[in-house]
Parts: sequence; C-alpha cells; structure tokens
Amino acid sequence: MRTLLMKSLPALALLLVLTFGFTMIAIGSTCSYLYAVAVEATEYAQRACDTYGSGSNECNWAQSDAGACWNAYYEQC
Amino acid sequence: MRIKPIYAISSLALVLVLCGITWKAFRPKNGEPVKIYKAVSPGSPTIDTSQAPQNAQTAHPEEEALTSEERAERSKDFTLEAVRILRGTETDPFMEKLQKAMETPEYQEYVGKQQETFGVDLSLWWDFLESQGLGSGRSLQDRDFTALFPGGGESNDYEPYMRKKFAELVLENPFKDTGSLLSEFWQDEANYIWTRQHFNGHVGDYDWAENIRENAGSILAEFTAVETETVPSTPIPDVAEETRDSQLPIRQETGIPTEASEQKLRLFLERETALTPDIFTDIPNLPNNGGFEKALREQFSPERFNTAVQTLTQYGPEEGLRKLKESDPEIAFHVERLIQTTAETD
Repeated sequence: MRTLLMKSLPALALLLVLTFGFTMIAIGSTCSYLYAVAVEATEYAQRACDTYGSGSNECNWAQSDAGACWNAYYEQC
Repeated sequence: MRIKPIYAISSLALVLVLCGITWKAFRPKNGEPVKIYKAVSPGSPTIDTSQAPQNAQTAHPEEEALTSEERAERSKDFTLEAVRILRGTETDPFMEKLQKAMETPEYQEYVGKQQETFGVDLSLWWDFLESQGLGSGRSLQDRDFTALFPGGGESNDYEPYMRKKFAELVLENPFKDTGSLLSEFWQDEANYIWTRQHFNGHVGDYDWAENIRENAGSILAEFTAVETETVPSTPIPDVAEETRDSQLPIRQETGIPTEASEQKLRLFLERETALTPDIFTDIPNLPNNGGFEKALREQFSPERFNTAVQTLTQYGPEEGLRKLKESDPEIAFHVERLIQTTAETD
C-alpha cells in the first residue's frame, strides 16, 4: 500500500499542477474580461462627458454604467 | 520501479506549495492588494479600488453569510463609490437620486438577477434605472451605434465582419486570453459600441469571443473561401463600366450592409475642398488628410490599399465607394467611417 502510494505521488502532483494551472487560467481570463469591461465603460463615460458635458444626462448614464461594471469586477474577482 | 525518498519528499513539498498558493489566491478578499485603474486622460479621475467603500472591502462578512439585503447594500456602496470617484464629487443631485433608487427593493431584485449572470448585464442595470425614472444609457448606446455605423442596419448585420476581425486579432495574439483579446478589440471605439449594442450590454460577449478564440483558424478559412469564390483577388482591369459590372461575380451575402450613407457623404464633400499633398491628392474631392491614408495603410495590406485607392481615383469618392462596397466591403466600411469621422470633426 505504501509503495503504491509512493509510486502514485508524482502522478498526483502532476494532476494537481495541471488542475491548478487550468483553474488559474480560467479565473485570470474571467477577471481580465471583467476588468476590460470596467475600464472600457469608464473610458466610454469619459468620452460621453467630454462630448455632452459633465452633468448631462448622457454623462450621468455612462458614469453609472461604469459604476455597475466596476461593481461586477469587484464582486466576481 | 522504486522511487527514491527525495522524489517523494519533493512531490509532497510541491503539493504543499500549491496548496499554499491556492489558499493565497482564494482567501477572503479582506486586505486584497491595491489595484490601480489607469487614468484615461491627464484630467480624468483615477479609480483606485483601495479607495472603494471601506465597509465593502474590509468589513463585510463572508460571502456565504450575506443576506440579499447585505449583498445589495455592499453592491450599492461599491457602485456609488465608483461613480463618486468618476464624478470627482461627494454628492450632487444625480448621485442623490441614484442613491435613493439603490435603497429600494427593486435594487435588491436587480442585484439578485445580476448575481445569476456571468459578467455584467447592462440591460438589467438599464431596466432598473428606467424603472426608477432615472433614464439609462440605453438610448445613448443606440445613438452612438447609429453614429458609428452610418451605413444603417442592425448590429447583427455587422456580426460576420466583427467575427472576422476578432478572429484575425486572435491569430495575431495566439497566447492572449479572451479578456485581454476583448480589451484590445475594444480599443477601436466602433468595435466597443458594436459589442455593447449587439450583446445588449455585454450579455454573452465573452462566450462569443471565447468561441471565436477556439475556432479562429476555421472561421478565417471560411471567410477566405467565400471571398475566393466571389471576389476576384486581382484588381479589376480597366474596362468599360458595363463590362466590369458583368464580370463581377454575384457576391454572397456576408452581412455587411451595402446601403451607403450617401447624404452624409455628399454633405461632407460639399464642405471639403482642401487637399493635402499625399497619395489621395489624386482623388478628386476625397476628404484628405495625413491620418486618412495612414489609418487605411495601417489596417490593410498594400495590395488591398492600392486597389481601393485605384478604385476611388478612377471613379471618384461616391461612385468609387459604391464600387468598393461591392469588391471589398471591409475597406469600404473603413473609408466610409473615416469620411464620416472627418465630416463630424469638421
């Protein structure tokens, strides 16, 4: 039993490494997506405020959208 | 086979290290490292999430223990803080209205629905804001889409074109993940506006991009096959118009709208008279500036660029653009957009 355990350790370690690696890649991708969404929403808000003026409805809407996107990033990452 | 003790010990150590790293990565978010958001212009606010509501970042209980009220409260705090940082003000009439709206049961309902979706569903957010009489970015989104896609049509009409563009981006950056690829894709404002319009505020855009990332090669191969079948790869010889038209094979529907925004183009051409000394000076009445040529050169191969210039030179901007739409809709789309942008700037 002990020998079997010893023999299977390298395979177990490899499995763990692979699982860990793939999990991290998946989480990293999701968070980089949410970060990109939030950053772009912020830049979009900036453009809307530059175009329509700060305090305009358009600026308010775009900024509140960006707020919702940053919230999603925080909640999920 | 006999395993040396050193290997066994190394394997165990590796497992322990991995466990440690996993714990570090997934531990509760209290004391999460500071994340700095880049400033988009010298005067723009900088979002530093370390400034996020302190009660949200450091004092909230474990995720599982949160009630829907607590979750909504946390979500409200963080959203308001982000908006506050963006606006550079503590409070103003809009912030007050927003805060009031976020203290209603409808907001709790919204947070619950948002929780069930992946990423961020802006359409839910817009529904909530509209239900509170605050108006929403939906109308702004529609307006921007119409302005950036003056050829008309629905966002769906542009999907094949965007799919192709994204697939090309994937092949140029084979090691980037989907999030990073989308980030790069969105550097072009038209792509960003299209994505928001088509996916109704990011609902499913990640899956769309992920699917293209996994099948970029076959997607581009399909496009190449369609183009080879339908569009001559060499420039059309200089023959009479009737003959030229009859030689062109019927183009399959690729999804690119073919209706021109002729009125806007004409309006612009009426105003535009000055030409700068570069390749486009040969094209009468075409809007001309250094950026126009540069932008096209950057995006297309010399062969396609030269063919487009040849067509525009030969037929003039209006007719040339129409011809381009038949032979190379992608470059025609860009030419039209550049004309539109220049017209609006002027």
